Amino acid sequence: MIELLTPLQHDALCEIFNISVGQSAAAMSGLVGEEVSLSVPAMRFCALTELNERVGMNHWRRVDAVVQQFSGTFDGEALLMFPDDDGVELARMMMGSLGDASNDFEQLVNDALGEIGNILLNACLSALADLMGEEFEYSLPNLCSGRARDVLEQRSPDPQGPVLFLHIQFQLETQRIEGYLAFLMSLPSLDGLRLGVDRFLGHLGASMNH
Amino acid sequence: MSKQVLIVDDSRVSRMLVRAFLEEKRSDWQFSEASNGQEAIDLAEREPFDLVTLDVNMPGMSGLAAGERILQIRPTARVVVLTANVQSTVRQRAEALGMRFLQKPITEATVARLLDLVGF
Repeated sequence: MIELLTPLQHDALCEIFNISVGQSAAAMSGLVGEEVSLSVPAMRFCALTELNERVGMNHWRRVDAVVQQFSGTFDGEALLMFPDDDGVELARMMMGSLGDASNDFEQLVNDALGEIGNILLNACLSALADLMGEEFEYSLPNLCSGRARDVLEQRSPDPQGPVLFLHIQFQLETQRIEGYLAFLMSLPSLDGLRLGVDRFLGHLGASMNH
Repeated sequence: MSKQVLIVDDSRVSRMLVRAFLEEKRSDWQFSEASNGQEAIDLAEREPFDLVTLDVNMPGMSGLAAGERILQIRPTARVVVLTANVQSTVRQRAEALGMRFLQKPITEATVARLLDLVGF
């Protein structure tokens, strides 16, 4: 990591990610009406194939993931991953307010999961864009389900190639529902990412000088 | 007084939520739905909507482009962008085009704010 980002850039990127995911947590809290706790963000630089073990995803039977590509001066994929049945439970909570209409749950669960991903990923990406002085274009959310390793490897044309993986775990206070929000970026995007981090640090410097 | 409302979102669940919360507060209103921008414009050409809620990221035309066109067709309609894409640039563009802006998720409180914003 040292050769990719200076310690200050590394620290700033974690903070940017932390603030951005905070927006997602606020959106999720609004959705389910309870507090959402967040872990400390972690950053890894490794091949996709190594992530499964390093992040502990090999303990999950399966994962439901909502993926959105984003592009600006740097590109990447934002993923919201729910282990096992947690995504389905969250969709059920979201649709609780629909009353009888939620009898259609089986038909609507994928739509609901996609929309949960859309809300949480966009909250995070929008905060990230504003903090870095960026403007992102997003793809529509895409829902993938299966083994975590397969879902991740589908996202990359070169699963052996190195990626930057930023991730954070969030958990609902009472429902035992957890999820991961992660960003995948390939090496060519790192120059743009560094510029964005430096812009954020520049704003900090400017405000500290006032 | 009854109002005609058009709910535009590619997510069926989101359309159902907006409609359920609005119907709860305004049971005499009439509702139509569209799942993309073009469908919304086509409906707006036929029906005099008083209120249009619009998602931004949808297949095909963006919600902002659809909203701009709908306001040309129905200049007196209140158009509220209801989106997860809350980048400042998107909000500024929506407001510059004469639309109101609200952040998802769609909850009872969001819909109450929507009604406050449009004054209905």
